[in-house]
Amino acid sequence: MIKSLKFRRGLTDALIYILLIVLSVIWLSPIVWLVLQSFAGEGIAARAKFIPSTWTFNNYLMLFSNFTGLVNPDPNIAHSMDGLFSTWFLNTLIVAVLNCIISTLFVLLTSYALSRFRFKARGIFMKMNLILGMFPGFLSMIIMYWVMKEIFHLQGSYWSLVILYSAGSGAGFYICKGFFDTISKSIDEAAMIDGATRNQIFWSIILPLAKPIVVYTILTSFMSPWGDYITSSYIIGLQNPTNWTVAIGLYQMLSANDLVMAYYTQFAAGAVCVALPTTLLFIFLQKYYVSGVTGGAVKG
Amino acid sequence: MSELNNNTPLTDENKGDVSQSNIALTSNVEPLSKPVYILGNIGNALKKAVLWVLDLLLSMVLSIVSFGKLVGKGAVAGTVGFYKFLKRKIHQFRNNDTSGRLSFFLFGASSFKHKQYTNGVLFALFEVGYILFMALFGGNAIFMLGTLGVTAVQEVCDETGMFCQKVPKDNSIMILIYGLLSVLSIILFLYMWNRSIQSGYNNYRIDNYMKFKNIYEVNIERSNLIDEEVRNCVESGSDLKAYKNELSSKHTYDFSYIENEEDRALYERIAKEVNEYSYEYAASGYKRIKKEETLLAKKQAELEAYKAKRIQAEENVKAKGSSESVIRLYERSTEVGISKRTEVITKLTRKIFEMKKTHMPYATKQSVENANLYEKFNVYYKTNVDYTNRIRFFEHYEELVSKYDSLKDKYAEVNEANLRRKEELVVECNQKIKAINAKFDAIVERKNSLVAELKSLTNAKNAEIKAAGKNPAVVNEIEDRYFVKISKLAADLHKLPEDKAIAAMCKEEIKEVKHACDRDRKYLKTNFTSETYCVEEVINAMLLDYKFEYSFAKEMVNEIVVKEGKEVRHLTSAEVEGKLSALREALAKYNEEHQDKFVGKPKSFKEQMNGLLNENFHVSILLLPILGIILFTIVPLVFSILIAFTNYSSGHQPPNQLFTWYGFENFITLFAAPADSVYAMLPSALVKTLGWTICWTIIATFSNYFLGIILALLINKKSIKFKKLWRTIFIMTIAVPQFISLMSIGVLFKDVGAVGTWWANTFGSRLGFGTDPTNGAIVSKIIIIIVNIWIGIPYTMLSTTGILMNIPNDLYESATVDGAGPFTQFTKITLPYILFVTGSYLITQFIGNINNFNVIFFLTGGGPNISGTALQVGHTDLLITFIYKMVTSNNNPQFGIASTIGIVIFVVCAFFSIIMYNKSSSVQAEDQFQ
Repeated sequence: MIKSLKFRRGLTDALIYILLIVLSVIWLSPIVWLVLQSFAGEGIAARAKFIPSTWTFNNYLMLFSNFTGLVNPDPNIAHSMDGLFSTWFLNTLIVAVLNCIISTLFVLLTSYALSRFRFKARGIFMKMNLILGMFPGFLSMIIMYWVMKEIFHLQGSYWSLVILYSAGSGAGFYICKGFFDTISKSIDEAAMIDGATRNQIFWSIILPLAKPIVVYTILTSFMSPWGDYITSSYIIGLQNPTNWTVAIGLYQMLSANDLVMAYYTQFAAGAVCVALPTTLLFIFLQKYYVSGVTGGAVKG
Repeated sequence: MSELNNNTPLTDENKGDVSQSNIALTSNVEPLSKPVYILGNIGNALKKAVLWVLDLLLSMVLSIVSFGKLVGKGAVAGTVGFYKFLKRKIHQFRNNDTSGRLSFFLFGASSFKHKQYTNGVLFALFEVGYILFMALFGGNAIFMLGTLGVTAVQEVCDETGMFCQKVPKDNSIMILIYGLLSVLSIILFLYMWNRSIQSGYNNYRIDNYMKFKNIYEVNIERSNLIDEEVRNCVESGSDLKAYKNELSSKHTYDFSYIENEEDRALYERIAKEVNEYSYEYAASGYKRIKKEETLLAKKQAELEAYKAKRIQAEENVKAKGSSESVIRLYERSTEVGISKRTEVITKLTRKIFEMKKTHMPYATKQSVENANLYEKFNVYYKTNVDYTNRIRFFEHYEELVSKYDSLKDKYAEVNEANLRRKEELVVECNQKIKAINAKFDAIVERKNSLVAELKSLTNAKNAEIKAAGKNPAVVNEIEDRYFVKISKLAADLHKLPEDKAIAAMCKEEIKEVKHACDRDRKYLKTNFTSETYCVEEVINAMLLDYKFEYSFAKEMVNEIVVKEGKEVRHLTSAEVEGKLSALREALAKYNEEHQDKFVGKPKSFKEQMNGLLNENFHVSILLLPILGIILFTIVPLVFSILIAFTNYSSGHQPPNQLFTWYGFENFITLFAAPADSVYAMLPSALVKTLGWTICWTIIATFSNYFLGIILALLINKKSIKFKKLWRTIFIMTIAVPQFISLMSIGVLFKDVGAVGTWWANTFGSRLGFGTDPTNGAIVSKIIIIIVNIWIGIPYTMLSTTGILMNIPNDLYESATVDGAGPFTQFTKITLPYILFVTGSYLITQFIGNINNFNVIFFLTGGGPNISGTALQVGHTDLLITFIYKMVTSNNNPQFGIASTIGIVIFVVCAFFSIIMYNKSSSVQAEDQFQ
C-alpha cells in the first residue's frame, strides 16, 4: 500500500518534471533560435531553417561597422542604416538610464506620499489615475509630437523621449505603494517622536527597508524605454537614423528587408545585443523582481 | 458519548432510514438510472449555463446603472461643492478685516500687513504676471480656440514686393495647445486666488482668536440645543417647515445684560447667524437621522445575514457529515465570512460615526476650525493656564502640606502591608498555575478519550465489515452507518489542539501569570522612607484631587519639600503669600501686555519652507510628479478627446492646412457612415475589430491567468526541485524586451520562416500566418493567442507564486488524507483562494489586453488585411493597432476618427472593468468557498 503510494507520488513528480522540461524547451526555443540566427552565415536564407548550416561571427562585426553600403529601400529614409547600431545603442542607453533615475525617484516619492500622508486630493488623484489608465495613451503622442517640435524644439531628438517617459511616470505607483503600505507606520511614528522630519524618515528609514521595491522600480523603469517602440518611433520619426533607438532601428532592419533582405542576420545579432543587458540584469536581480511583484502587486 | 449524540442533528435511526431508502432506490431503478442521470447532468449544465448568462447580463445592466449612478453622484457632488465654496467665500468676505477683504482683489495684501513679506511678494508677482500673460498672450489664445485659425498660409514679400513666398501662418494644432494651456491657467489662477483669500482669512482669525473662541463656545451651546430639538421634532413626527417657523419666533435672544457694546453687537450677530443656519441644519439633521436609521438597519441586516450564513454553514457540515478537509473548508469559509461581514459592519459603524462628527451647522463648523487654529497658535492661552495652575497650587499649598504631614508616620505600615501582599501574591500565583495545569490536563484527557473512542469505533466498524464479507451493499450500509459518528469524532478531535500546542499554550499561560505576578510584586515597594512615601502620595493627590498634570506635579512637589542641605522643610505661610502675590502680579501684567496684541503669529516664510520637509512633505515630493502627470498625461488626454471633435485628417494637416471644429460628425461617421463616402466600410470594420478585440481580450486574459496559475502550482509543488532554475527559465520572456522576442517569433511563423517552411514541407500547404484571410484568419489568431500565452504566463506565475506560499499548508494535508485528488484540491482550495486575492490583478490584466499593442503589432502588424476596405484594417487588428495605423499612415492619416475610436476604447475599458469589478467582488465573497 505504502509502496504503491510512494510509487504514484514518484510518477506524478516524474510527469511534472517531464512537463516542465518540455515547457522549458518551448519557452527557450524562440530565444535560442534567435541566438542561432545571429551566428548564421547564409544571410536571409537562414530564417527558413531551425539551425543554420554555416556559422559566422561576421554578423556582429558588421553590425558595428560599415559593411554593405546599401541605401535603405524605404523612400522615407534617405540614409543608410550601416554602422549606426552602436549609436542607437548609446542613444537608448542614455534614455534608459536617465529615465531610470528620474522615474524611480518620481515613483518612490509619489508612492511614499500616497502611502503615508492623508491629504484632500489623495482619493481623487488615485481614482483619476485608475481612469486615465483606461484611455489609449498613445493618442496623446499626437500632441506631444507637436509640443516637442514647436515648444521644446526637440524634434527627432532622444531628449524628448527622456522627458516623455519620465514626466508622467509618477502614475505607475500602484505596486510600490502596495509595498510601502506593508511597512509598519509605527516605525515612522517612532522616528517622529525622536525628532526626525518626514524628509529624513523617507531617506534614512523607509528607503533602506524597501530595498526590493527600489530595485524592482529601477529595473522596470530601465526596461520600459529599452524595449519601447510605439512612442519612440512616433516622436523621433524616421528621418534621421542617427537619433533612433534600438527598437526603431531593429524594426526598420526587419521591415525594410523584404526587398533587399540584407539586414536580416544583422537584425538577429542586434537583437541579441539588445536583449543581453536586460537578461543579465534580470537574472542577477531576479530575487528583488519577484519579491517586488509578489509583495506589492497583489495588495495594490 | 451522550454529549456527542446531542450535538448531531441526524440520529442513527434517521441516517439508517436514508441509507435504506438509497439502497432500495438503487436496486429497483438501476437499469434506468444511468441515462436519466446523464440527462439530468446535461440539464443541470444547461441550467447552470443559462443562469450564468443571465447573471452576466444582469451584471452588465447593473454596471451600466452603477456607472450612471457614479456620474450622477459626481455631478451632484460637484454642484454642491461649488455652492458650498461660494458660500464660504462670501462668509470669508463678510467676516474679515480690510486687509483680508483686499486680498480678494490684490493678492497678498494681508500677507504684507502681517509681515509675511516673501509670501506677499510672491502673491503679488503672480497676480501681476498672470494679468500680463492674459493681456499679452492668453486672452488671444483662448479667443483663437473658437476658430482654430483663419489663414493657413500667408504670402510674405520682401521690401521691393518682387520676391514673395508662401509661409505657414496659423497652426491649428498649436492654437489648440496654447488655448488649452491658457484655459488651464485659469484653474491655476483660481487656485492662487483661493490661497490668497484663505491666507488673509487665516491671518484675520489669528488676530481675533479670542472673538472666535467666544463664537465657538456660543455656537456649540446653541447647536446642541438645536440638535436636541430636531431630534424631538423627528421623533414626534411633526412637520419640519412648521418647525422652522416656530424656530424663528422662539429663539430671540436678549443680550441686554452685556455691558460692553461691541461684545453685545458681536453676540447678537452670532445669534442671528446661527438662526439663519438653523433651518438648514434642521433639514440636514432630519436627513441625517433618517440616513442613520437606514444604515443601522443595514448593519442589523448584515449581522443577521452573517449569523444565518454561519448557521447554514454549520448545518451543511453536519448534513454532509463528510471528510475532515471539507469541514475545514467550511470552517475556513466561515472565517472569511466573519472577516468580510465584520469589515462591512465596521465600515457602516464608521460611516455613522463620521456622519455624526461632520454634521455641524455651518457656523459651528467654522468656529471649530477657528478653535483648532486657536489651539495651534495659542501661546497666550498656555501661559495663562500655567500661571493659573501655579496660583491654584499655592492657594492649596497648606492642604497639601497638611496631607504631607499627616502621612509622615504611615510609611512603616505601608511597607509592612506591601510585604504581606507580596507573599499573598506568590500564593495566588501558585494557585493560578495549578488551575491552568488542571485545565490543560482536562483537555489532554478529553483528547485521549476521543482517540480511544475513535479507535474502538473504527475497530467495531472493521470487525463488522469483516463479518459482512464481500457484500458491497452491506459494507456500504456499515460505512454509512459509521460515517457520521466517525467524522463527527474526527472533527471534534481536530478542534482540539495538538499535544505540542497544548504544552506550548500551557507554558505560555503559566509564563503570563508568572510575569504578571512578578510585575505586581515589583511595584509593591517595601523600602519606603518617610519622605519618599509622602512625596509619592502628595503627587498622587495633586493628580487626582487637583487635576494637575504629572510633569507639573512633579515639578511643584519641590516647593513642598524644600531642601536646604540635608534639612527638609516646608515653605512658611509668608513665603507662600509672597509667591502667590508675585504670580498674580505677573499674570495680571502678562494679560495686560498681551490684551490687544495677537498672541498667535502667522507662520514666517522660513517656517513654511521648513514645513515642506516635514508636515507638508507630501506637497514638495508630489509637486513634480503631479505636474508631470498633469502636463504630460492629462493635458494630452484632454487634447486627444478634443481632437475627436475636429476634422483633423489627411486633407486638414498643419502646418500648411487648417482644421476646425467638427461637432459630432466623427461619431456619426464611426457608427453610420454614408455609403458613398470614403468611410463607407468604417462601421463594419469597426464592428469586426471590436468583436475580435473583445474576443481576444477574454481569451488572452483568462488563458494567461489559469495557465499561469497551473504553472506556478507545478513549480511550487513541494517535491519539485530546482525551483529557482525553472522560474529563471520562464522569466526569460520578461527579461528579453518584448519587441525583440515578438519580432523574431513573427519571422519564425511567417511562410518564409522556419516553422512556415516546415509546415509547407510537411503538410504541403501554406501556414499563412499574417497573410491567409480564410475563416477570418483563424490560423493567425490561434498563433497569436499561443504566442501571447508564451509571453504572458510568466507574469501570472510570478504574482501567484507569492499567494500560493500564503495558502495554509494544513488545508492540503488534510485534503490529501481524505483522498482528494490534485484536481479536487485545485478546484476546491487553490483556485478559490487565488481568485479571492487576485481580483484587482485580473482587472488590470483585462485592460492591459484590450490595449495590447505589442503582441499584435510585432507579430502580424494586424494582417491579413480585410479586403474591400479603403482603410488599412486587418483581421487581427485590435482597436489600438487600428488607430495606430490611422494615426501613423503617411498618405491618409485620420486623427479625428482615431481619437473618436480612442473614446470608444475608453468606454469599452470602463464598461468591462466595472463588470469585472462587480463580478470579482462577488468572487471575493465567501460564497465562492462553498
